[in-house]
Amino acid sequence: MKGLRGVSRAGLSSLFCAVGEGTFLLKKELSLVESIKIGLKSCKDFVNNAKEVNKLKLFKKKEPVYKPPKKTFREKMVDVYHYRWFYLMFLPVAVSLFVFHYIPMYGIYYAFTDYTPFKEPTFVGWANFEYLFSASRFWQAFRNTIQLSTVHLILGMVCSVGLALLINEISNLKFRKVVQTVVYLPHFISWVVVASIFTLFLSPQSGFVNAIISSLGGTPIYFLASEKWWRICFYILNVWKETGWGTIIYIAALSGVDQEMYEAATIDGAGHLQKVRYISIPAISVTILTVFILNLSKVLNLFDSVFVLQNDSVIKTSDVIGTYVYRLGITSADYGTSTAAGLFKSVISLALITFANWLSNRIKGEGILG
Amino acid sequence: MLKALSRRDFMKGMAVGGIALGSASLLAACGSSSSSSSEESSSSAESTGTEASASEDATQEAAETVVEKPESISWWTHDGLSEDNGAEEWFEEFENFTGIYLDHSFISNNEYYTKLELAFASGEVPEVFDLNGANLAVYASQGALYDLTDLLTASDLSDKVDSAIWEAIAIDGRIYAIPKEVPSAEVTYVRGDWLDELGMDEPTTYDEFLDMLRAFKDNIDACTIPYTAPGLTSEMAMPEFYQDAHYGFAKVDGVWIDGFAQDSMAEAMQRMQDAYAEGLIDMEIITNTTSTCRDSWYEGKVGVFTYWSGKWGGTLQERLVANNEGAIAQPIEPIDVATYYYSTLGGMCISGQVDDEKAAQIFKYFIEYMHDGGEGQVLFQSGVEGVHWEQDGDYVSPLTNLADNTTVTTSVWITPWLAISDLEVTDKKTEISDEVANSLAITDAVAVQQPITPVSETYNKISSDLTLEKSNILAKGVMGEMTVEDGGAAYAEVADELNVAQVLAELNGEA
Repeated sequence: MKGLRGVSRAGLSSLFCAVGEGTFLLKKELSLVESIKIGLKSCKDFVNNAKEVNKLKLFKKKEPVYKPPKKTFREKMVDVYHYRWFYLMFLPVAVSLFVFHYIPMYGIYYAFTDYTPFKEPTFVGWANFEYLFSASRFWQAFRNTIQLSTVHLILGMVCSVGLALLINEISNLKFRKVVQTVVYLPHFISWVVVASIFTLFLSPQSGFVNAIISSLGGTPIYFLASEKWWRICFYILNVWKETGWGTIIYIAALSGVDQEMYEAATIDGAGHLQKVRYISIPAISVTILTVFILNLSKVLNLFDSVFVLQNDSVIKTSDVIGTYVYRLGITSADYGTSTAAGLFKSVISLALITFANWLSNRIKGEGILG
Repeated sequence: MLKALSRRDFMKGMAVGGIALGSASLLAACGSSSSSSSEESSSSAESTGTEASASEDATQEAAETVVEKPESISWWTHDGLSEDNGAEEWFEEFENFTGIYLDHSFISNNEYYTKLELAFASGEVPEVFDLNGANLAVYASQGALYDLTDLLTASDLSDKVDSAIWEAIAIDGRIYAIPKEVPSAEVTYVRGDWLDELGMDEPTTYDEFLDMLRAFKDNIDACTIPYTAPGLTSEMAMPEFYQDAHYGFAKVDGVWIDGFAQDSMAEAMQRMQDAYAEGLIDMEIITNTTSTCRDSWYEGKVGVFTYWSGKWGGTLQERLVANNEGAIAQPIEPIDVATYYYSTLGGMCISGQVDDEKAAQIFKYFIEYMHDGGEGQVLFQSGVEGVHWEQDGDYVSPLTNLADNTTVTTSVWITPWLAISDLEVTDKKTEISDEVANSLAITDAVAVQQPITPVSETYNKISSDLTLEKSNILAKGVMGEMTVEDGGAAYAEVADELNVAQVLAELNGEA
C-alpha cells in the first residue's frame, strides 16, 4: 500500500508538472486523498484557463501568413548554386532511386500480359488477376500470409520491448554490452543456416529437443513436418532470430528517458516493476507505436524464413504469397501471373501503409509519410 | 469483357494506382524488353510438323554448304570443370586446337535456370548452353532453341551415336539438343557388410527386401535408418516402393497417363505408409535433402540408399569406408517388381536467337568437335595434358585436382565412360575402378529410359499448384495423417479442379 501511495504521488506530481502549474507538489506529509484533491483542482483550473484562451483565440483576427516573394528563374538558379553541394550529395540517391525503383515499375505491365522470357508478351488485360482470384491456393497463401505475419508482428514487438526493458534494467555496463551483443548475433545468421541448425535441433531422431522429450517419457515429435507444430516453430525461430535486433530502437528510446523520473520514483518507494510500468513503458510508447506502424507496412513481405522451413507435409499451412509468387515464376515460368500476384501484394501493402498513416495521425497527431 | 478495354483506358486506370506499385518491381525487374528475335525461332519450333517434308532438301543443302569457322562462341556451363581446376588452361588449349575463342561463363548450379531465363528476357542469351530433360521441351516449345535436326542429319554424328539416344531426346521427332553424355541411372546400394553379418543374400523380391530392412533395424545396432531417400516424390529414388507406379505423367503403352491417379500409385502409397509406420523408412524422409541422405550414409547409419550409379558408386564406398572400417556399399540388382530409371535425357542446345550460319558453325566446330572420337573428345573428356592428365601407356592417367589435392580429375566436361560415342584413338583409354564399374554394369543392363514429357500449355499453367497438391497428399498419406483412399479422393478433386484431363488431352495430341 505504501508503494502504491508513493507511485500515485509520483504520478500526480508528474501530471502537475505537465499541466503547467509549475510547482512540484510532492509533499510527503499530505495523504493520498489530499494529493488527489489538489491535483484535480489544479487540472480543473488548467482546463478552464485553456478554454478561456481558446475562446479568445476564436475571436482573434487571423494574422496574415507571410508569403515570400516569388523568385525568378535566375534567383532559383542562384539558390541551386548556393546549395550545390547538397544537391550533389543527393544526386546518387536520386539516381539510384530512379534506376532501381522507378524504371523497374515498367514491368508492372507484365501483370497484364501472357509473358514467358522466350516470347514477346501478349496483352491479356485482367486475365491473370481473374486466374489468381479464382485460384483457391492463392487465397490460401494470402490467408497464411496474414496469419503468420500478424502473429509474427505482435509477438516480435512484445518480445523486443520486453527484452529491451530487461536489458535496460542491467546496471553493470560491461555485462549489459555483452548481453546486447549476444542478442544481436542471431540477426546476422542467414535464414538458410538458421533452418539447418533448427532442423537438426528439432530432428525426431537425433535432435536434442526430442531427446529431452524422450527422456521425460514422451514420444518424439516431427516438429517441422507437423501442421500443428510448424507454425509454433516458425514463430519461435523468428523470435529467436529477430528479437535481439528489434531491441536496438527501444533501448535507444529508453536511454533518452529522464533519469530524474526514476530517481523520484525510487524516492517515492517504487519498485522495479512499478518503474517499468509507470515510467519506462509510457516513455517509449510513441516509439513502440512508430515501430509497429512501420512494420505493419511490411507484414506481407514474408519469404526467406518461410521458404527455408517449408516441406511437402506442411506446404498448405506454410505457403505464403512470397513463396506462391516464387513457385509460379520459377517453377512454371509464368511471369505474367506471378507479377500479377506480386502486384496484388503491393496494393495490399499500400492499403496497409495508408491505414498505418491514418492511425499515426489519429494517435500521434502526425503521419509517418510526412 | 475485361479484355475489351481499350489499351488507352486501361493505361489510364493503371496510372491511378501507379504509385502503389513500387514493390511489385521485384519480378518486374526480371523482364526488360523481351527477345524480339525469338519470333523467328519460335516459328521454327511451332511449325516443326509442317517443315518435316522440307527437311530432306535442307539436309542436302546443309551438306553442300561450306561452313566457315567462327571467331568466337559464347557458352554457359553450370557443371563440369571448376574455375580453379585449370579452366584457364583448358580454354587456352581449346583456342590452340581450334582457333576459336570461347566466351565462357561459369554459372552456379542452383541459379543456372533463373539466370538463363533472365538472359532470354534481356536478349543476352549465350549461343550454347545445356538443358536438362525437364526444361528441354518447355524451351523448345517456346522457340528458344535452334532446331538441330537438319544439321544432325547432315553430320557424321548421327550415325556414330546409338539411335535410341536420338529417339529419347527427340521432341515430336525433332532434335533440339545433343546429349553430352548418355544419361545416368540410379541404383540401390545396400550395406553389403551388414548382409554378410546377418548371413543374408541380396533381396530379390519385395518381401525379402522388407525382411532385409527389418533385419537391419532389429539386429544392427549402428543402423538407425534402415531406408532413406530425399523426399517421397521420385520413383527413381524409391524404386522398391514405387514399383510400377509413377508420380508424374508417364507414357504407358504409347499413351500419356496421369501416374498419380492410377491404382498403382495408391498401392505404392500404401506400401510406403506401412513401411513408414513400421519404422523401416527414414522418419525424416519429408525434410530430407540429397545431402542429408548422403551424410547419413557416410556416417554409417543407413542400410539402403538409392543413388546414382557410376562415379557416385565410388564416392559412396570411399566416404562410407572412411568412417566405418570394413563397410561395403553394395549395388544390387533391382528386386523383381522394381525398375531402375535413367534420368531424363538433356543436352547441349544452340539458342534459337542465332542465325542459320552461326548455328551451323557452332554445330560443326563445337558440338561435333566434342564428340569427334579424337583430339576434341579427349579434350572435353579428360582435359589438358599435363594439367588434368598424363599419358600412361595406352591410358589417360588423371592428375591431382588443382582445386582439391585429395581427388584426381577423372573428367572435365564429359565423363569418359558416359560418352555418347566411342573414342577412335586407341591410346587414350580411361581406367574405371571396380566401385564405378559394378554399379554401372547393373544400370546399363536393366535401367529404363523415360521419354521427355511433351509440352502442354495447360500443364505449364497448373504445374506449380499440381505439384504442391500431389506432394502434400503423398506426404500426409505416408505419414499416416490421411488414408490412401482419402488421398485418392483428395487428388481426384484436385485433378478435376485443375483440369488435368485437358493436360492429358494435350499430351496425347487430342486437344
